[in-house]
Amino acid sequence: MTNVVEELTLNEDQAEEPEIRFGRSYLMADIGSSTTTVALFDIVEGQYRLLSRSAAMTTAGPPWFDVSNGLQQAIHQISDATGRVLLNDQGGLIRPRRSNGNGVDEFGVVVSAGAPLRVLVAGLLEEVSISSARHVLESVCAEEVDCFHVADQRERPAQVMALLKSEPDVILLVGGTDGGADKQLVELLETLAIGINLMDDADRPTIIFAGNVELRENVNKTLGKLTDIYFTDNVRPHIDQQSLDPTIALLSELYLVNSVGQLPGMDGLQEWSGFNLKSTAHAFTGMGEYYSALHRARVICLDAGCNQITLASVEPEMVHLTIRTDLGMGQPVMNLLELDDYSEINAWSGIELSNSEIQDFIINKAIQPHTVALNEAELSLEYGILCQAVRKTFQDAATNWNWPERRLLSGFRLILLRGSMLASAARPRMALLAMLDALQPSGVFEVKADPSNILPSMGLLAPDEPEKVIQVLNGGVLENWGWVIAPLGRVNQGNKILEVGIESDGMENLRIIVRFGRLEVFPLPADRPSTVTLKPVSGIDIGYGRGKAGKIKIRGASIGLVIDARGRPLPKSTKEKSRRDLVQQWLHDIGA
Amino acid sequence: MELYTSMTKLRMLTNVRRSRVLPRRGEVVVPIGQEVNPVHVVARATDVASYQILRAANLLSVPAKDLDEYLLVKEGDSLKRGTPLMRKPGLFGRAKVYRSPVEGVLLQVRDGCLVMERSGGLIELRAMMSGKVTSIMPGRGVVLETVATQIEGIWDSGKEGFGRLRILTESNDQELDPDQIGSAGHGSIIVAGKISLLESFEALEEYGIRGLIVGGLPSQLYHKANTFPFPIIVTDGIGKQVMAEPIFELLQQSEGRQASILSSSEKPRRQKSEIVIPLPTTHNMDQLKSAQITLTVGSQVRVWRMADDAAMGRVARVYVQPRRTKVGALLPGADVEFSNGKVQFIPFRNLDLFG
Repeated sequence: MTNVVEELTLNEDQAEEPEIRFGRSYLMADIGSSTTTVALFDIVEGQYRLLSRSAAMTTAGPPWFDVSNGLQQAIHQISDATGRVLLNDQGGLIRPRRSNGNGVDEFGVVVSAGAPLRVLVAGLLEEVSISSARHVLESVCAEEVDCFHVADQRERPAQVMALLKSEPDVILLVGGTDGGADKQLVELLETLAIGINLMDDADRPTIIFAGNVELRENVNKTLGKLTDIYFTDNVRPHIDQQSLDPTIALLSELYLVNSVGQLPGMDGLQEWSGFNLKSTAHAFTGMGEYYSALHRARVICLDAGCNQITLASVEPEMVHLTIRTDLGMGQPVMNLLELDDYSEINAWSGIELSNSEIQDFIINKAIQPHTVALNEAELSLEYGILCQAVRKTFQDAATNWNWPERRLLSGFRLILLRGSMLASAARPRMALLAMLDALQPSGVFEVKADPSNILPSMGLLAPDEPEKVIQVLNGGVLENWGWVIAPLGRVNQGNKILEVGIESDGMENLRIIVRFGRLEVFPLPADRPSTVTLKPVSGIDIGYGRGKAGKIKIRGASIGLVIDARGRPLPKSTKEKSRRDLVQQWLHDIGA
Repeated sequence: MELYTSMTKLRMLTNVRRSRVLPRRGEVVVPIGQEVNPVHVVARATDVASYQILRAANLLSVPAKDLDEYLLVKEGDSLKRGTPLMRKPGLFGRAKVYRSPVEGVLLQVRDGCLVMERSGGLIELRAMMSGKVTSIMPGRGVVLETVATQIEGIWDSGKEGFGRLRILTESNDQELDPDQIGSAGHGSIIVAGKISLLESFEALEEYGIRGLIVGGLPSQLYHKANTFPFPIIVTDGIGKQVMAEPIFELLQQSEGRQASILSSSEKPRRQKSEIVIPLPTTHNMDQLKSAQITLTVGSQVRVWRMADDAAMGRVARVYVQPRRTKVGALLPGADVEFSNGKVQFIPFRNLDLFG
């Protein structure tokens, strides 16, 4: 982190001496595509705590064209709630904190409002280097606009026209193992050169070359005079080896500079900030790494945002990240219009709607992505769409991450939820059910939500100020929804699958027989720990091995202990009405 | 504190600024200060590039690096169909001459290929609204300004047009009756509260209308909208929505005037779909800068995603700190009083301010 000294012309009443203190206060912003959130952190009784947070509409689009307008509104809300003046009369941030308590010492911002980078992938073999390039794109905020490879049936003229039509921001050029000779890649360079030469200077894409290192000179010679080129490690240095991180880092940087950095008003905010700009998805995943290290276990991060869905599986030594810019609850929802059949959405929503009603809703939601449901039917439909989008994200990610054949989500300790429909849900139980339906996880795990939308900000702060992040998190900013026990395996419907014992000090012990097909919720006392004993029947696995029992110590939570014995995969009736009835039953069982 | 909600321009008399930009680099053909009418051409460019790429070295069966020896043209040369491009000497003094298959320009000679740009048709960028050229973007387009009534839409079919306004429904919530169109619809921009029948669209096409302004249309028609030759602008939503009353009233007041439907565009800066109805006025354009509208008690607002038709109301109370909505979401917002007397808390996210 760099300390930036801001020069301010102060009004007389503002010209107090900066307060000299050991602890610094932090104002952290998260600029999403529809909502801008601001959080103020400072010391309370010797510990860093979240003092206040607020949210306002993001104002990157018309008629404002300035992200700082929405940010200032959110900051004013914090001032209104805390009495602490943070902006001067000109709308500038008062820094550092003044002796009268006004102002703040540090400002940082994470952003997901930028449009995804348009990337054209060019390389040799679709199943080798192109596949690695696509893995790279999954981990950054980008969309593939076209792909050129050796099996591409298009002749050079058609490829040139396709290049012009696709208007890429970046060409990700891959292919060839290090040291190999790649005549075809050289030919591809010429095709790209012809196309780039036909573009206006301002429209020319940046090239990232992440292929055979021996060809760097060729690349530079052919394309160097036409546009900017970045060289990075070969994504496939050997046929059986991938090296994706350097290219991911480079593309992420380009996203921040070329997309986020170009948001109207962003330049001014970067001047306020003492932190490097970070994308919300990467900052959030950073917090997944923090929790993974803390628990020495796998952590799942899920953010269902307006313009993207982020899913990460984080282990102490391994991070898998998927950012889906084609799925989301805002503008990307239009992609659902391509579906021939809305029965899945209908089934997940638990209500009966005609295709045209669903299509009307989808188009209106895409036109006005910032709006929220005002009635029960629309709320149910939104959750139906959310389930469909998250399910697709998970299924594709599980394939790309080479998860086992059955693609089941298991063996993790915690799931972190973000996004207005999940973490700040009008009904957390409905959101929890949507998550369970979409991911269909199994095992024993904890669910925490980030209703204040502060995890990405913490992710920005964590590398420089880890102890402050720990203090803020210990202050209880996340909402602990509870624990889920989801057995894997099947017995006959209605038969015993699991025996659960709950012991809490000062309370009567509970012994529960859980039957297959049921979804049950047990509240836990908030003020004391409970010991939960789990005894699955033979052949059933709750994460400890088939038929093996386990014991966990857990604390009270807002929802409690959820036992999801519906089986994996979830039962699917072919009749729409039966499925809707089932979803209605589950909503009832979970108490939504 | 200013409270930002979504905002729709609905202005009876204002100074409208609108960029008109070519899809590709070309030439601006009007000077600053020129008064233009909707059909006036303000800029021209050759049509979206159509390129012919000839694998010349392959054709001659020579290495790419040797191609220059056989070329009869150089980069930048104009080409006619049949212009000799290459000559390769053969046996017994006989030479083979290769001629241009297109009319245009030789853009590049690269890697054994000739890249030729075909002379395409001409793109003529029309003003599409009456006004004055106040700024020029060299090679790209112009900015036009006019004193007009301005109404923003929420969606358009991607086409633009102009014509006299004709209101074909008696109220903002009335469905268009195809029988009402008649021959008077010819050459006009038609206004209707809502349309739900494909037959109405077909009738509008048959009568040769110049454009359609509608409060709402169902998704089935949304999918077909861009297949119709006339521009369509939707003011309120897809589905059962009807036109907001203030929009309908303003259009009613403008009936008979020349109006333009302008499509949303991304470049150079996002412009929303809008209806511009120029007004004869002696007002100085600079005096008509619109005041910043902010949400306060008494503001007239449109509520997005109300289940019934009562989508217009007035702000009765503002809550900066979050409150629970009817379905339980915790958000800042305002109490809105609807015309039927009902008061409901609506989050700012669902409020739209006319300004």
